[in-house]
Amino acid sequence: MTLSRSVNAQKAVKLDFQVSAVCSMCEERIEKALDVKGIKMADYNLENGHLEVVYNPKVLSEEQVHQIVADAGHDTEKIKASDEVYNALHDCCKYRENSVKKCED
Amino acid sequence: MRRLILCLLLSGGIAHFSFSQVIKGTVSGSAPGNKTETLIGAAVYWQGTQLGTVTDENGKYSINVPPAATMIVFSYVGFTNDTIAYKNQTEINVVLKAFEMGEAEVIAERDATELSLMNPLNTQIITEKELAKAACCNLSESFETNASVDASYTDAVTGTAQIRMLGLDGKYTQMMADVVPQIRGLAVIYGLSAIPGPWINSIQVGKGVGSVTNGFESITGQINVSMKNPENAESVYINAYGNQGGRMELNGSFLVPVNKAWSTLLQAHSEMNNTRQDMNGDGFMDNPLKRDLIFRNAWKYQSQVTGFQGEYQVTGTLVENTSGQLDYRNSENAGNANLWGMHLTDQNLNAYAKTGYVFKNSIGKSIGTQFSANHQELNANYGLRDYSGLHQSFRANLLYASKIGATTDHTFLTGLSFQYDDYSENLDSLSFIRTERVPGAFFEYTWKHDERFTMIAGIRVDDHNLFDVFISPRLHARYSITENTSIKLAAGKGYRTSNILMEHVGILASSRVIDVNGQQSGLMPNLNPEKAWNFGLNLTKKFQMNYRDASVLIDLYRTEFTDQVIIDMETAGAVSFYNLNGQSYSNSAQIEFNWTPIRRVDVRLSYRWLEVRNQFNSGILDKPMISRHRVFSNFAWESKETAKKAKWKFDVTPQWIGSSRIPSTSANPEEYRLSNRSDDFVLVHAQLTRVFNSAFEMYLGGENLGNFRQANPIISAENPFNSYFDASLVWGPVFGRMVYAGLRFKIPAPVK
Repeated sequence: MTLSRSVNAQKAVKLDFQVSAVCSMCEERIEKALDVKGIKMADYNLENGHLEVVYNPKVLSEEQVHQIVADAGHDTEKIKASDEVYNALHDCCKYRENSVKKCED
Repeated sequence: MRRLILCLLLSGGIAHFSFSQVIKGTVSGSAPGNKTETLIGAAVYWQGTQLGTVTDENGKYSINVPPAATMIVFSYVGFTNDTIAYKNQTEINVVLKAFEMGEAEVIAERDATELSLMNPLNTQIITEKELAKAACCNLSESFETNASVDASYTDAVTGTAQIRMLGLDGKYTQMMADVVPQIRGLAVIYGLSAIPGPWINSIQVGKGVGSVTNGFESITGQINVSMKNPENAESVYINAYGNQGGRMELNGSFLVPVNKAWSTLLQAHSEMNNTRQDMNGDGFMDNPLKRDLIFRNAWKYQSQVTGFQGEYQVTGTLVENTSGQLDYRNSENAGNANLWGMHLTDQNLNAYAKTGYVFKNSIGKSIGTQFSANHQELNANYGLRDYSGLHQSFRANLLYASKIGATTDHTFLTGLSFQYDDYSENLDSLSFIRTERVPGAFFEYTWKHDERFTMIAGIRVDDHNLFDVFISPRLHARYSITENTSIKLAAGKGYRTSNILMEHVGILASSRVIDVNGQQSGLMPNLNPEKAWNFGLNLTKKFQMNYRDASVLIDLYRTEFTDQVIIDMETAGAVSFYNLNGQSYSNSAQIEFNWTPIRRVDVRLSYRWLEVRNQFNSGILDKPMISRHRVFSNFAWESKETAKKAKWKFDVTPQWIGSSRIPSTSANPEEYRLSNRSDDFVLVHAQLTRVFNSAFEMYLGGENLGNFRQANPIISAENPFNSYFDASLVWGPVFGRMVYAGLRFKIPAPVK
């Protein structure tokens, strides 16, 4: 699901993959986690669970992008978040549960 | 603007299918200072479908899961919608947050200025984040980072700020606080500085005629100031400010929960300037000496049980300003010709009550009432001129909102209003006395055809006791060409009656002889009410550039007066007010570009062109002191937030203002003449903020960093009692560079 495009003479790569999340608080967490060097753009779509990331492959690898998201507590197609990080999430963000309580910020 | 029904609600006939899966849960609501209560009759539905239900008397619901379920929406009148992704949950409990009555959006973490593709009215929302960029101090200074509103000074002596939209004075823009018309009558200029910035939650700047529901007075725009109210204020908010000119301000705001349904907010503001300063060496103080006190108490009532909600507030203002020659002391020098000085006291008491009732069994139906009353007393002297003014007003507005048919595609808002204004002003031997009683009725129909097209058509009829019947038709339409491009059209008529002295208070800081329709003393004749048509076209396009959000806006507006009060300063030493006899118009074009080139960096570039001309006795001329060209830019940067929520914020606003026409001074002796055109100039404001944590931040900033000053803003400053004295021909900054610093301390409201 990857495709590359040339931007400003510098190769930026666009990724689009599935990430588990349930609320706008999760969305903010994922996008904030990706505010690091090498990432041009990160946009999570809560409706379909797709995360779009544009990154510079000279700085980061695709694997590392997944790792950043998993480290924030959200499962990606490739890497599952550790239970420790997952358990630390706000109750309303516990996407692995069937019943999610009170999704307020 | 004031809409009691906002949310998309479901009507009775909901399709029944059989689904195997069911989600159950409770919907409750919370308002700051109130306990969370369950919401009865809240709508729960699948996004983009007609499938839904409402909560029962215990706030519980149960909803079937359709095959392609993705997002589930929870909504209730007066609360923000919550949308939750469906991930096979079997139970979802939500707590909706209350928002301000009559307002479509809640201001939380969001962009500093928002452009809406969906709202048929061309409205920009200036959020608290944007307001924080212009750290000083009150409403008149809150538009520094906005390209659509111009700020200027009335004269070179009194330090009074005024605003303009579409090249026309602020008096043609209807000002509202919490959608109740305010800052009108004698307060059109001084009233702007009586709303402290830290009390403002957000400002909605609407270009063009606006809605009919708040009266006939808007022509170039409607600016609504959403005040901090019990439902959105912090528990404690303290702001202190000081600048190089000696101005000091202290603002405090305290939230007091009373019981389940009631909460109240107490606010106090004090401003002080005791420093006499003359940086440009003209012998006059650069900034007025000032003392003011403002108190505000706002109450909010909201009951889930009865369906009633209400907002009530009272504000008291006491202002004392002194300015003029450096050693002027009002107690010693008032009324004599030793030193020229200005002294003003402004006392104002204002209250409003808004009560709404939402019919629980009939979704989309509501009734609202608005009552407001205002008492203002002004006493001033400007040199040897002696002024006193009294304005008492009362306004009632009754609104009824409902829908036509089963869906909310066709809705209407209708009502009756009554406006009472009693004016009494005296300036030496001139007096202006007028009582206005204006009953009116309005009807506004909204058609939401689909996602792409919305139209608002409104009309109001007002029967003015002194003038004829005012008929104000207004139309707004929005069409989305694509998902990210919308085009908006607006056309409509507005009216206003004028109070020439307080609307042009700058001329009192001159020796110009005032005449109204040729009359120079006694009871002054009523001038015709001002009438104008306004037409607007807006194109908004949002797109991505280098993977980052960008937007372009193009605005074209024309205002055409059929009646207007002309202020004619074309003869030195005189100012004449008379009814327009000929044409008067303003054409305005603006292009604005917003982009985030790098993360956490926002860029705004704008260019605005204006042509404002009218017929004077001496011919058709450009309106004086209004520059044709303005280039505006704003660059804002924010550092990444640390775990402790600390960050840096920096923003800089450079702008270029083109030259403008100065009224002729050729009849004066040579030493008292000015050139016919002003210089163009550059203004740069910048500010740095350090956020230490969510409770505490400090800022340091500078205004007019390039230290540009209008040369000789006062004609005959050395001899202010001769007939050539004139401080009203101001087109640029009178004060040079101004450094300021301040702090903000806040304790957020408890979540529940």
